[in-house]
Amino acid sequence: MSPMQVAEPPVPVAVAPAEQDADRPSLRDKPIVALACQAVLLIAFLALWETASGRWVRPFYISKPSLIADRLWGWLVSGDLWHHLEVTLEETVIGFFVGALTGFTAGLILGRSPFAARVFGPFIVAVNALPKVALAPLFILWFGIGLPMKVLLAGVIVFFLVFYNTFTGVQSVDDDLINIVRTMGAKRRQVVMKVIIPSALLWVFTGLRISIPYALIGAVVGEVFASNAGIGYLINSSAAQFDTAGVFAGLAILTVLAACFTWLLGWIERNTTASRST
Amino acid sequence: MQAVPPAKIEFRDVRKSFRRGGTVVEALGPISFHIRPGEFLALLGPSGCGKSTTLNMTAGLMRPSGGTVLFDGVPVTEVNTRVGYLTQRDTLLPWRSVAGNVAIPLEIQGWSGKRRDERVRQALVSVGLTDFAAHRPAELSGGMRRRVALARMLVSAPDTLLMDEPFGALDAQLKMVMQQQLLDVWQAERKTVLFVTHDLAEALMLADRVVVLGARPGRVKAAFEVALGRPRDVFSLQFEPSFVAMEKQLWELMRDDIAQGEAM
Repeated sequence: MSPMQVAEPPVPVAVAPAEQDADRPSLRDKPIVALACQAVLLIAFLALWETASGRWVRPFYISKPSLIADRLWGWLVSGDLWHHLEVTLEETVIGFFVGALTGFTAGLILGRSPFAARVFGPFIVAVNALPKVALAPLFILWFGIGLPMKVLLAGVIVFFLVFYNTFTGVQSVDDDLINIVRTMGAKRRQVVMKVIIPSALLWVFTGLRISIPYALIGAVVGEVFASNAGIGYLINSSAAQFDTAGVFAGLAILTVLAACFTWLLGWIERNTTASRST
Repeated sequence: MQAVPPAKIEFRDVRKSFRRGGTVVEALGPISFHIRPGEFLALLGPSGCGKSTTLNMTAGLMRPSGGTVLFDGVPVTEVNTRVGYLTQRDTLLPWRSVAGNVAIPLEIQGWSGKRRDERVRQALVSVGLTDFAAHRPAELSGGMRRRVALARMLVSAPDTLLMDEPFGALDAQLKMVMQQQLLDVWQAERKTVLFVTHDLAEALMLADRVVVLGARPGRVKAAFEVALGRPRDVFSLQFEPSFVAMEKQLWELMRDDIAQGEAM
């Protein structure tokens, strides 16, 4: 089976602290300094944007930060923001769990059964090669423009990412570990629970982490295709009304949302790996 | 007429061949020999003569291509859960602590919390690793990992031990320490041991009987009773004239095959 979309082997990467001279601690090593630089950079960028808009570039193309903030504030007080955010979040989370659970199960089964892997392999490769967002029209035909269609779109994308990583992880489990546990009298289920799953867990987590942003992509693409709610809908309908500020405001919300997801999984991963002693 | 006590493990015309690419490679046998209950038997032979294969078939992890492996008089047809197996390679679970690794056989057998913890603690005491119970295998030296594996094998008290060059990767001094530790355990519990090694001195040092396999496909070349008393002390034994003489005798037996093994 082709290793497409399989993430790099999950090697825990430790970022070495920059070397520093013990006698003269450099200003650059202080986190607060980097943070300040980032803040200055951001403010400078926004200021440049604000100045450029209407002066050098037509606001129709780039809007301006003050207008975008205004739009965000308007959505916030009207309650629109929460409503649409909730819809997108719901689609993403359900889609993620549906895809992750089915992908994990399929990866586990096919990873342990060379015969099943041989039989299903070509089909999985073929379906995986298909750009999943192209399935959106089909899912609209099946389910209409409501929640299930977005869940399915997000789920299909997540499925393959988690499936391939789990599959690879399960296949790379050391056979000697399995054999030794079998001589201790382990039943099939115990081998899976005590050896295969823990051994493949790093791979599975890699699959889960990379698929979180893709779940969001699935949900938002679904919304952009056809919907009446969600951040994707906000962006699309703003664009339809030539409201550039609204488009940028929607993108800003998405950026924050994606960053939150990434941070959340990083947190879960750190805590799980640390307590994997049992 | 008194019945002969049944063999603990018996190999009857056991043969093993592997398919490599399009060709069939004869790896072992046919071999026939047996191990008595409570006997410490060393299987000695050059690299690639099928020693590990013999253990794998005894553990039921491999099927013979011909012949039968009998355990307590019954043919081994599935995984043999009555043996403790110490493999050549490290097979500790890297994500578990030392104590967690030693506890696996007990967990599988359904031992409960307190009783299990106590048994694990005893096992760690017996190999002198109590202070490292919470460490991960990656944090230990090679010798310590071997001792964890030894403790894990012994914790569930299997009546037969299969050991595949367990101390092969250790330096000479550490090897002796581990050999002595094994002998002490064996002296106390008198388990049946099938010990695979290519180290002639080790075989003599530990075993009651040495079965010598020839180069591939391995066949039994000789069986050698080790006429040394028990309990043994590996540190002093190595210099004793009787031991040295025996070593020489065994070297003569193996010489041709060692040269052949090199040529392969």
